[in-house]
Amino acid sequence: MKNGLRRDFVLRDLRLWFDLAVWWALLFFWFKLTITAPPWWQPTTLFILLLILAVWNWWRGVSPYGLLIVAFLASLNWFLLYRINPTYADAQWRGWLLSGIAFLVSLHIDWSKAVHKHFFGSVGLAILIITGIFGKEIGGARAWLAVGPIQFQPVEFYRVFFLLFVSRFLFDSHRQLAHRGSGSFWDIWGPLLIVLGGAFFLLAFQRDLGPALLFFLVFMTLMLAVSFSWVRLAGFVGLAAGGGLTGWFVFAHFRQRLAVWLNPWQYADTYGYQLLQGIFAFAAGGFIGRGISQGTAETVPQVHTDLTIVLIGEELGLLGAAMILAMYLCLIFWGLKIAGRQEGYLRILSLGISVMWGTQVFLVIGGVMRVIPLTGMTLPFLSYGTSSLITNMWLLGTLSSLERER
Amino acid sequence: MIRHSALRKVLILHLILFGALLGAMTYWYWRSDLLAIHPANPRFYQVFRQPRGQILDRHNRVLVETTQEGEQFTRVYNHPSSLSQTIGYFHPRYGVTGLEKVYHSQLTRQQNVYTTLDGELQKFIDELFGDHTGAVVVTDPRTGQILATGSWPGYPNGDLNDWELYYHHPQAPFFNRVLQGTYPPGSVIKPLIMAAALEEGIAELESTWRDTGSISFSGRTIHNSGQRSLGMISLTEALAHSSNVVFAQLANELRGGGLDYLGEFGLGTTMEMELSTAAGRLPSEALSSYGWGQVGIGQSDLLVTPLQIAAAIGVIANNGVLMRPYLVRQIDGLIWQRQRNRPEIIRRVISQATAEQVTRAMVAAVTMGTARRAAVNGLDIAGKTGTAENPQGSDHAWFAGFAPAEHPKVLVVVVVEHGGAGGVAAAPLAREIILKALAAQEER
Repeated sequence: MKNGLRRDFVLRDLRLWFDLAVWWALLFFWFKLTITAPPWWQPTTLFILLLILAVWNWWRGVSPYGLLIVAFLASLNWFLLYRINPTYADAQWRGWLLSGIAFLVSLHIDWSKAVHKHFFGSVGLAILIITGIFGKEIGGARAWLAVGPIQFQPVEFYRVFFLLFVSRFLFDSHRQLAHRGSGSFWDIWGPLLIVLGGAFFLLAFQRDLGPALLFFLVFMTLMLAVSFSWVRLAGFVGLAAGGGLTGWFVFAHFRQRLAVWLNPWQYADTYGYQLLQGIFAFAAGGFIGRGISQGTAETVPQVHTDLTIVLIGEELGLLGAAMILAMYLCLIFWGLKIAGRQEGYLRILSLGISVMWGTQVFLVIGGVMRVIPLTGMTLPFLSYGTSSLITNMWLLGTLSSLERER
Repeated sequence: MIRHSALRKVLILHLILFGALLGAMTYWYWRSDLLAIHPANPRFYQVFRQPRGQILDRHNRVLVETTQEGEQFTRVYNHPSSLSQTIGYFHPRYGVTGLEKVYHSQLTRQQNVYTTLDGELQKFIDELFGDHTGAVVVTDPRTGQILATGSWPGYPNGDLNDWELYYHHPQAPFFNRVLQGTYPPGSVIKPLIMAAALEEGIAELESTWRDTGSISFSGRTIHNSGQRSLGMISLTEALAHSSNVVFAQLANELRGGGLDYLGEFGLGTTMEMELSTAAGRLPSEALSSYGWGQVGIGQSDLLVTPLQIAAAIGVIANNGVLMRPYLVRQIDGLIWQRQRNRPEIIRRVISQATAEQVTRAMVAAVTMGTARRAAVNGLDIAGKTGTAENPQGSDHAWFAGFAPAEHPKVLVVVVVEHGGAGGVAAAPLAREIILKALAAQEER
């Protein structure tokens, strides 16, 4: 990068951080002022703040609104965590600093540089293998790795490598996929089978089924976006059915989750407790919510991670929850717009990031609202967890970086 | 490569998926009232630690309210125990019943429920009825509003420490006899039979019969009460003196048509109102002439609730039109939460002329017939007694009547379980209730 360009970027960064600081201050005062106000204040004033922000940016001709949406989500998350338990908020604050660094690093990487897919594939697999061997089991899934005092979820980092690998792979083979043309079977499908097959196997071995499903769906969407055919779609559906059947036979907690999804009332005291308590809490919010800290969502297990949406539902109401949905939709729309402006491999990558966020939000909220069974994943930017925050900020940095290069 | 159309499709896919999420959220929001009283919901208990709306009577006197002492909230019931089944209770251990349950969402939002009941009238009736077992319901026949409803024995809904006792009590204090108690009507059915006969042209007020005290149908006999022979009597006198002989014949001439009329009067089906009601029973159509005779005198396997009789006799009082009985006249709150219930016509059952004629006969019953003990000097009361044989013991005493006969303002139904003769046990109680109810109507 030329020096002049770099300085321009730095200036833009500074303005961005200024925006963020103002936004943070606004949200802080909002929290302080509305925590004792009548509940209907909270979602409405939040909405007004968002409007102010949108108008202000439009007027300045700046639209880094991906970052601002994330700033809104992440800071709301911090406040809600604070309301649940201030120690969570402390830990999350540290997570923020780290993820801020991740964002900046990712922002300045030149993503168009060609790196062979094998690099990503092998690093990704390595991460999973290490987790499989040395991992700790928490909550039924062996998804955690402990290095000294720090505990983190490597599968979150694996996401990045997954996306990079898949995008690279699809770009390299898109001609063969479209025309079913030259190249031996092993050349094309070999790396895919090893990497993805290995990944699914390892994830299953670690009983981390939620991410496995997510990766499957993202891969399916990306491949079908590159080159669609009904045969391929049928193939994926078949694979999914097969995977589901296998899971049903092999995994007890898979069967549990399915049973609870079909009839939670029967398991109200046992397996269904979390889902039902979440639904009770959400429904108790009414349209405008009970007001921050006025609800009793502490009774919901994992409310700081898996079930954050339920806390939003109870305290900011249906209105608040719908606003969150809209925010995520805006984020995805932003990502898709960026994808539209990219070419080739980068288009697949940016599409992949957006689709990954969208699918994850659907899987999480769908599970909590009983549209689909619970999958044990968390909302991007809106839950307690440093690894997830770092990864998602990194991905955000990637998209922001792509947005700048026209 | 990925075309723009593909990107667009991905966006649409996400819109659909998120739409499904929003739909699910809205669904749970819509079901929130039911979820709030689910036993597994810890918020169920929260509802007992917060203010709650009041239930008031027709003069805005407070019947039920929540008082607060520091963090302690108590539900206080200012009405006699005979009203408790209707009002219901609100208890963290035993749940929510009655009007407290029906209007649970509104009361939780601190909206007030304004009933049609008259608290003072209710207290009066409770003291009057004393230790009897049975039911009383007082309505305004012009509108269908329920002014008082009592079921004895009652229970104190503010103190449920003896809930187990009440639950296992042989006389079932939790049972709402007015809405759900089914009894054979006995002679209180006769005004309805008479109305049917007049409408169908089978008889007229001046038609005469020879009443020898008993009548036979293929070897089985139906007697008048006390085997009394009434001689040559008109239809009016037949109703006034409650002639089983005449009405057994009338029912035989009406046959299935008579059952249809009883159905039109509201018997045999549940009455749609705020609380659930029993349907009672109408006999099936395949009856012998003796069977029809039994229908005419209100026995057979006929079963009715006091509310049904109140609504049916209300038709007579209200120029032949059946009004829907209701308990709640208004609920306050924010503009979209408010509710106002107006009198509702269910259907016209008989002509105004028929209603007038039956009324005249019922007035005769009070002035010179079996309902003499309900008579009041200077007031035209229309009434009918009933003495219902039943397999559980001595006869149930019925009285159904309204006043003033020309332009009725109150209607009273009294059932004294195993009380004996209607004219002896029920009519004198009804007399006092009618006087008090009319006086209460005057004070506005």
